[in-house]
Amino acid sequence: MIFADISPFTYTPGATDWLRILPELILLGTGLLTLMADLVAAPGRKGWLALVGLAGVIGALVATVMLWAGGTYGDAFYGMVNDDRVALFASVVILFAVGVGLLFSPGYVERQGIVHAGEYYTLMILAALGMMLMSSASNLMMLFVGLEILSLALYILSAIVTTRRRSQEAGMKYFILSSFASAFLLYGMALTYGATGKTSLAGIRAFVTTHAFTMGSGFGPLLVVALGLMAVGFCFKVSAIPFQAWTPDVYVGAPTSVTAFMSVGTKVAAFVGLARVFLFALSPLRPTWEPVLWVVAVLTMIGGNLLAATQRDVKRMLAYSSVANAGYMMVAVATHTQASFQGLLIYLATYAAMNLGAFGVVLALERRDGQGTTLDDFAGLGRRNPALAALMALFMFALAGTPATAGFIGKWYVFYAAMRGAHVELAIIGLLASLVGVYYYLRVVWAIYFTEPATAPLLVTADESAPVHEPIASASATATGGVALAEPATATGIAMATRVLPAERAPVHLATWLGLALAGVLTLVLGIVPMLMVDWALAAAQTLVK
Amino acid sequence: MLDLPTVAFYIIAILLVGTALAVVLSRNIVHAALFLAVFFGAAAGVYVLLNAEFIAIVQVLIYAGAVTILVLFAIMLTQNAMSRNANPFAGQWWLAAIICAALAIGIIYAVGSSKMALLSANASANMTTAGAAGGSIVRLGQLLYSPFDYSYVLPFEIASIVLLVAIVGAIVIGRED
Repeated sequence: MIFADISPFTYTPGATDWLRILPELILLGTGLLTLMADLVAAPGRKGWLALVGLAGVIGALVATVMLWAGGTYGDAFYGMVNDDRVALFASVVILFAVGVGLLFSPGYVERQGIVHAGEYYTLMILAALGMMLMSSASNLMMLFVGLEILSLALYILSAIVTTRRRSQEAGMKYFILSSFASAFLLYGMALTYGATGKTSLAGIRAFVTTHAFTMGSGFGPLLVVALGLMAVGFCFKVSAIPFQAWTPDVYVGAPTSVTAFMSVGTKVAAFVGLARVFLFALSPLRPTWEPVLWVVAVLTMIGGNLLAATQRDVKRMLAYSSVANAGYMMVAVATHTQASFQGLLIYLATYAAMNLGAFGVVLALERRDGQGTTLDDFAGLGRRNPALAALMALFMFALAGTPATAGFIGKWYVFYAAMRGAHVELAIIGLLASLVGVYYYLRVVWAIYFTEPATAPLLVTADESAPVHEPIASASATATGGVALAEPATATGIAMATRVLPAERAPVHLATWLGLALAGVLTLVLGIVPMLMVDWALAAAQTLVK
Repeated sequence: MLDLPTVAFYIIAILLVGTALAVVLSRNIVHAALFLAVFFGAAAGVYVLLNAEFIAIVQVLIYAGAVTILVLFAIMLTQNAMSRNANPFAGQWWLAAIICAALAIGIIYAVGSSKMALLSANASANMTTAGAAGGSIVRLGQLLYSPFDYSYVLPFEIASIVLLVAIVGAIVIGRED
């Protein structure tokens, strides 16, 4: 009987296995549901799919909170994923990001005339699923599979505006460059497996703890190469300098609702993955990787802030600002203490609130052709749309790190941990770099309240129907920012042009307001009463970094 | 005395070298791509001889199947493939020849001096145990579903979500509106 000796190898997962990945399962079900519901949705009226997705996100959030309250965390599916505090903390942030991203979507998708609206919502939810799997992975295999799900979904989402060449270009660039980074990461993982014989993070940690690490030890050189390759892969995914070149083009070209979601979600997933590999599994090899990440952190903080300061397009400025913020988070990784990992988690949560909000305001102002996000467009916003202006000012003050906002709390915990953890120089460089940040964030506030539109822009009533022709942002546009793109299709519409105040461009969708309000409230709450979140982050940090 | 695997090896080796040369030397680039398919298939034969059946199957599926088709599509879409001299001889062939020779010498030296080399004492022992355990496919299957140590059921299943995302993405990118 041939099955006799095969039958012991039938693996049946138990109820606890399923329970521990309940949030992910709910999200997967929601993703499949939106894919099916798309079939019965009438073309052009697909906004309610966002509601379906939102319901699933709330369900997953409830499941996450229940798992946290349950308090018994551990591995599921034989050490593939776990639901430890880190995973749950990251899941809450990711679910918040995708929830707000879904709220931003209906109005924006309608305005941009995105044809594949149904697939848009499905891909967004599945991207969030990939992020959650990546941040809850306890095995290199799961880490990579999660990364691939989120990357593939985001390539498509970046390129989903079929009528905009910059969106297509963003998707293509992101696909090619990010595939390379994934390959680097995978090669690093393969070499790690070759050196240690394990793919589980706990197994790798046990191996490098018990085996003395020298270059002559046989596995030593393999591990050094593996560390380098994995560092490259992760640094690319979090857009740290010198692997940031894709960030501005992709963030500007992608639909703004997608940019808002991915700038936060990818950072959470990639930084938690980075922390699991470097701060947990390969923690004993700290002397080997620490100098590398130190250099990356310094470069990213200084370079990101300086590049952001030269931008006149706010969307592009925010893209570079997300590079700079990756630098602050890298400080927390390089410091490598329990307090710094707590700081990293706090920074991720606060960054999610304020960055989603900032991109949300840009999204509300963006016109159909993807223009309307330069500093000139923000001029005089304080009188045209006081509510939107106040929210933007709040998010800018928060990103600059003003006390009583979320941004201050994040920076405080990261830099304080760096000082306590024998990296005073990183904290000082970070503080100086964020002074540059104050300049370019507050320049937006200045434009909103203290400048008038230079010439009342000759805006076109035919704006909606104007053919979209924009120069392909080339390598030179990377350096000069959005300046080259600042002249939209006035030539074609000038005959019908009437003086329309920019406030009358397009009413902001109700769901967008809701998302902005959520982000704004959270930015203030996390800034004024952060104690609860700080305690949660500490509980999470204690499970990973001893 | 030549046994069957040795005979098979020499046949495959001649096929490998012959088709590899044909890929480089043939003037018609479509012929070169087709020779490449044969080359990939012969390489799979080497894996079979090494008791690595799984890699052999993957080699056929991915390289002989997908990669060759991709190359053919790329040729078809980018240039007039049926022109007689679609694969002109590059002027730097002598440079390529030198690099290839250096690479060959390096590999022969590395294989000859490695601890894993066929002539060393452990190698034959390794090969017999690998064969006795039922080949790599059975071991892989056991590892995928093993209830004892750790099993790769979850990533295996979740790979289907990666495929789902890829399918949805392909439709979004490719469908005409």
